[in-house]
Amino acid sequence: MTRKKINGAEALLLSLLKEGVDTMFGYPGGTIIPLYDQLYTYSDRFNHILVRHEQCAVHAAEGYSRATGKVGVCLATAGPGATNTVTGIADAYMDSTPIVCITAQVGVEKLGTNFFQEADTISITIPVTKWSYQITSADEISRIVAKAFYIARTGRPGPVLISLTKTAQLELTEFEYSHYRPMNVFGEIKSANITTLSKEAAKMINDSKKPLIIAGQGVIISGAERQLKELAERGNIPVASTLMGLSSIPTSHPLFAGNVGMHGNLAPNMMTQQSDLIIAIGMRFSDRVTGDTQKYAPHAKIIHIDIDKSEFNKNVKTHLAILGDATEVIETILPKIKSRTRAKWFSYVKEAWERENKAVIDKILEREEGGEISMAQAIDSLSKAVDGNAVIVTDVGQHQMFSARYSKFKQTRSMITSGGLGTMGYGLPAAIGAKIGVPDREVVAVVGDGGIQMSLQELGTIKQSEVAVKIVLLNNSFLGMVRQWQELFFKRRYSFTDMVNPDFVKIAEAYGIKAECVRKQEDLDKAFKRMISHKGAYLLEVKTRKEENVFPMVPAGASLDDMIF
Amino acid sequence: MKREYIVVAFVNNQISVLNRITSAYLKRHINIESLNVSESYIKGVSTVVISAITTKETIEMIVNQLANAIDILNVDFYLQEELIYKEMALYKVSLKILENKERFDNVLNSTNTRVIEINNDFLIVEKSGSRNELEKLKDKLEHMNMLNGFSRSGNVVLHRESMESLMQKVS
Repeated sequence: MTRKKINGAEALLLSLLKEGVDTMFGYPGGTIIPLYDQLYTYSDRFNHILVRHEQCAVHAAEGYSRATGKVGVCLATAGPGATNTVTGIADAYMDSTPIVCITAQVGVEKLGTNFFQEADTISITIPVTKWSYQITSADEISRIVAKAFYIARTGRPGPVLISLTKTAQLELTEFEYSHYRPMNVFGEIKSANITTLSKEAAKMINDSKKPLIIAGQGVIISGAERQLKELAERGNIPVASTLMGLSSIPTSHPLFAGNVGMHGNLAPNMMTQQSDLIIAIGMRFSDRVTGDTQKYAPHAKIIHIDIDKSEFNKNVKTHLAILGDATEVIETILPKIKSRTRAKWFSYVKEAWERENKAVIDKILEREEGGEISMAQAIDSLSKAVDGNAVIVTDVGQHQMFSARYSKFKQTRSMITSGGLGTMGYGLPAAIGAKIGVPDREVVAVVGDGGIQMSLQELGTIKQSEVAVKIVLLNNSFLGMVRQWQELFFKRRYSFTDMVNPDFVKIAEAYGIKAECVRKQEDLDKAFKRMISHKGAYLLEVKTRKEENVFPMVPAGASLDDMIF
Repeated sequence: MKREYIVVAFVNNQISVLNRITSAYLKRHINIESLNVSESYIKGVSTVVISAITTKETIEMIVNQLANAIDILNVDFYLQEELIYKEMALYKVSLKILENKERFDNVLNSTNTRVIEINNDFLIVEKSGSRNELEKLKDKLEHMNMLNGFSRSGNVVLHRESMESLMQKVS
């Protein structure tokens, strides 16, 4: 019996359905019309969100993925559509976000001729993709889609790009689908090979007087939040988080010691320098976390648990590297962990927190009638208004660091931010993706006046798709983080960081989005309440102090104990 | 300390794998001195041999990155002395060399070269050996003003290890 033949475009959509995809973010164009034509037929099975720029399709797919744990999917046409996705793909690569990006490509016979809207997408994206493939025949589609999803989501997740030629979209094929199973060259199924050094790790932990767990995003990706908490509680070990690991443990947990890194908290940074054992889980010792690696954690042995072997000994020397999935690795260690009091160590944590509260936090949060708003106050007020339950999606800059420092998190996958690449313009589209992924959760985009203007057009997406995302715009009319560096390290020479901005409230209103602007501290809490009680999308512009710095700070290349206030 | 490191990778014989490999060097601003790709004795698997001058730390990072790439089955790095490796070179030599039998014997015969073509204008000579040996002959011919062309193959390598351990690596 011969099966019914369908075209490649339809085969692609059927393949996506087989992978459980029901949502995608995209933008049509000439070369991808055959696929969009099929999407017209399948519109009851896919929620396709029409973005306003292809870069934002990728960021939205990232936000969707980070909020849900599923693979994000985005579509773009050939040439400029595909090249516009590059920033988003690079962002996903740095932050290990699983996405499958499908970009169209000119017909096979036209490849390499500089045909209209031809760009060599595969070559352009090689350094920023986990895997990529150009499909030239419809028969390849189901096999490649299956492999793409497998690669995007397994091991250390990451972006996969499929370049889909027009030829493959139009060609007829018999559709058949089977999920990908990795095989070696002899056609045998590969088995996962996890090293277990649990005994040694447990001994090091039990022997340690001053241990510190540093939780990275790997904890969230692996779904090891419960195991992390158990490890900390069973061993009585303080937990610090990287920027990407935020919300892996509730901020109110008594063992949570704060954030590490450049704009982290004093306590975990100082603890890193005092500790005799760092237990790093699913993190990569980025320069923003370590400061000067030569002076990093001078007294500590380091246990590094990660699924990516290439991260071991890359930035700092590891004493015990355990390759594997965080959940499985912690579970093998757990039964052997003994509790220790470590009273001195915990009193050190307390002292450091008291110092930071006194020097920075209490002062910055102190309100005065008619006073200009600090970004810290805004985030603190937001956090109270959502009671720590919202998904906070940030852009990049000062507001991002204030969000990391002053947000409270009760549940996992609540902090979505561009950590590795530091992509301005990420916040708004990523929040759109997150809200589409978790419609029942409150999703708040916290953005600056610089970043929002890199993806401002996405207000159109919010309008058209009725995305009930809340936008908190912290507006200091400066590219604040660059200005902070110029102030501290470039003799206040504010070279092109001053912004002359439009009326953001009017812009939001032009898109039919309810908006308001606050300027005084006493108006803050009520404004956030109004924002949260509003059903649909909402933009709250908060005019903040013009020249405010994020402190404490570890200057670039300095040691973690050289924090400036 | 910078020295020559030879990376040997077993890869699926597929489009774009080579670009992914060279991109790992490009990313770190490392120049590739020699690159050779050929089918291995396992069907569908190619051997890629790349020499570059860099530090041990950098080559470790490159190899770790490559080990993560999907279509790279196995990859490791070696120093020259750890591998059996040869290069082949072709020399286009002026016919004048034939004018003096002693010189011909001295320069070509005694260095294990093989004449593979003679025509009215020149002769093509083939020689295999280490890069040093090949370069030495090149310099000599150049010095005598006899060299009209030269081409080297890049490294061809074989591990000293057993077939079994090799099979384990790619499985």
